[in-house]
Amino acid sequence: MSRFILKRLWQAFLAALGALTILFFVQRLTGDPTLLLVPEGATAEDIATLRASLGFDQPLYIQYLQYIKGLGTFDLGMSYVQGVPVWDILMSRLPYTLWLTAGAMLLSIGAGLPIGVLMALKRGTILERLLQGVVFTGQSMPTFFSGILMILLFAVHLQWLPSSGSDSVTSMLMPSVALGLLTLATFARVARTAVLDELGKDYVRTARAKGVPMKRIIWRHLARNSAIPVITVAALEISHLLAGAVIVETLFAWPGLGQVAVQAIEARDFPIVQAVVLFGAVASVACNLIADLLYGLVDPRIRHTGGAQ
Amino acid sequence: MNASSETHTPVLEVRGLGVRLRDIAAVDDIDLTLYAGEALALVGESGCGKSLSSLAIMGLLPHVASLSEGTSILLQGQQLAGLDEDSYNRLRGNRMSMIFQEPFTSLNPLMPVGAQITEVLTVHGVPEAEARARALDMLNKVGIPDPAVRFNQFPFELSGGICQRVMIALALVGNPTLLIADEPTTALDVTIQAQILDLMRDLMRERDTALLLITHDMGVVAETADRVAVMYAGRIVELADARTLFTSPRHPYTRLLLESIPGISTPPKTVLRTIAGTVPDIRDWAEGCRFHPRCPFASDDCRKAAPPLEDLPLDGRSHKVACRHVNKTELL
Repeated sequence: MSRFILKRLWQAFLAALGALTILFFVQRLTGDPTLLLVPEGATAEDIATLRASLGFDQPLYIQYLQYIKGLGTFDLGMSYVQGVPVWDILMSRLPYTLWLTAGAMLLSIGAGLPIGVLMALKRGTILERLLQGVVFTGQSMPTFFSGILMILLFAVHLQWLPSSGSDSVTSMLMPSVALGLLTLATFARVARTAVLDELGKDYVRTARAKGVPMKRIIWRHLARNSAIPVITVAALEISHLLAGAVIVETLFAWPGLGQVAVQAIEARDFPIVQAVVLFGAVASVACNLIADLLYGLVDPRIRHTGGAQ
Repeated sequence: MNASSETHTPVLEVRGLGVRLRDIAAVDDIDLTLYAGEALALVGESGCGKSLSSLAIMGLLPHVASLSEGTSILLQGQQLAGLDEDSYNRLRGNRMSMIFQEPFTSLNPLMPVGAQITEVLTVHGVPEAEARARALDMLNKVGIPDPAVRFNQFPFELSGGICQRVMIALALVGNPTLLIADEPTTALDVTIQAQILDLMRDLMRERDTALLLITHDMGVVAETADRVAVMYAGRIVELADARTLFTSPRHPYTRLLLESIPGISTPPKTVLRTIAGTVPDIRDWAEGCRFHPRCPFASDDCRKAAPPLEDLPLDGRSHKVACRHVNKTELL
């Protein structure tokens, strides 16, 4: 098992390094950040001085090697614009994004899975059609659109919820729902398919022939057997949620990583962008690793072929 | 079957069993009676409705299928036709149980086999500890080596034969009065087949369980069954005790079917008999006697109306046949 984990960690390291390398060079194609940093009417000499102090006068590969060297000592660099260590900025904003993502995940799993299971069990009934409608709506509305609709309804018309900010728990509600809606639909779909697949299998018929009531069949037999696709999707969806946070945080003025990233991209504050992407890469790799480990817990067949040797 | 069992209430008494697949009658007016300790084989080719009949008795019909009106299924006198799911659940695993064809897929892949057997008892109210003890004991009875080790293993760690033994343990642990086995040995190696059949027969005799054996394999029938019902295209065409059926079959279909199987005394290179034509698709079942398109004796009467299943006793033994040309069968 530990060899399996080591192998996965090595793969994760390569994936993160790859993502960072691509980002590093692509960012520098967007232009010279010094020009954005200097005040109006600065002389060519001033610009040259600043450029040299930020290290932009060095060849690209030297800059890259220095950046990697910094990462090796957990130094994410200084923000060009704010002059503060990137690490501090990251840490001050991270909790907000984590709360938001957790809220969205909770909503999408807590509502998405039961909806999917219900759709499978009540196949062909009006209830299924109704739920299908909810799922389709969730799936076909982009976050920025559903978010604006929600602001219009709950903040502007009904004035139940604040339209932006992060002052109270209620201000987390709309961003979480906006972020989680799409994921909810995905979970519902996956759960429905998984349960339908399993319902037709022979072991369900055996359980019925044993006199096991349907409710118990679902909890004791179906749930575990349909867990694998759900775990796979959950791992993928966490990355999607982090990506979606960029839009939602901008929309609701939520002071998380996404908002920082957008501001940093506009200001060509490279170290911050790199740090946020690094975090995203590490997070998604970690989720996939956790998913792999969960597979083994759920399915003994995977435990035997995947890890032990 | 001995004479005294005739006087007892049958374990299973099926009258006028019909199953409709959407609007097609897939099983048509079947009567079956089964006594304690007796093994009745329901024989026929794939698609003749034998599996549907067994699922109908268990209340496990797929949702595209339904019981026809007028069907009566009595389990020790209790009417099963039209029974609700909860009442059925109280009977299944307890008074009636079933073994399926595929031992691997019929077991939950993610549950240790011991837990799957134990569950049969716990859902019927047996305390957990007692249920586990009985399940372990049952694993021992079906001849699985190291039952205590096997108890905690998953189906993928076991062979097909062992899995089918687990299925048998699972079906018999509740001490049912009726056991239905749907092609229990078809998916197994020939050497394992005989072991499994012996095991089933022994356990059944020991417990006086009634066995309804669904199969297409005449070898299995010969080895296991006391009586045989031959099905063709949704109907029973012949019903007799096993010896009589094998020695003097009276329906042309049964006779041709038996002659198409090589026996141990069949000389090498003998050309085996075949039945002209193919098994008809359910949508093409003929009017009248459904075998008439393939029958050498078919007359106009056969094309018009189905012959009833009549008892034509031979040497005092019941022998039911649905054919107008019983006398001619000898000529084949």
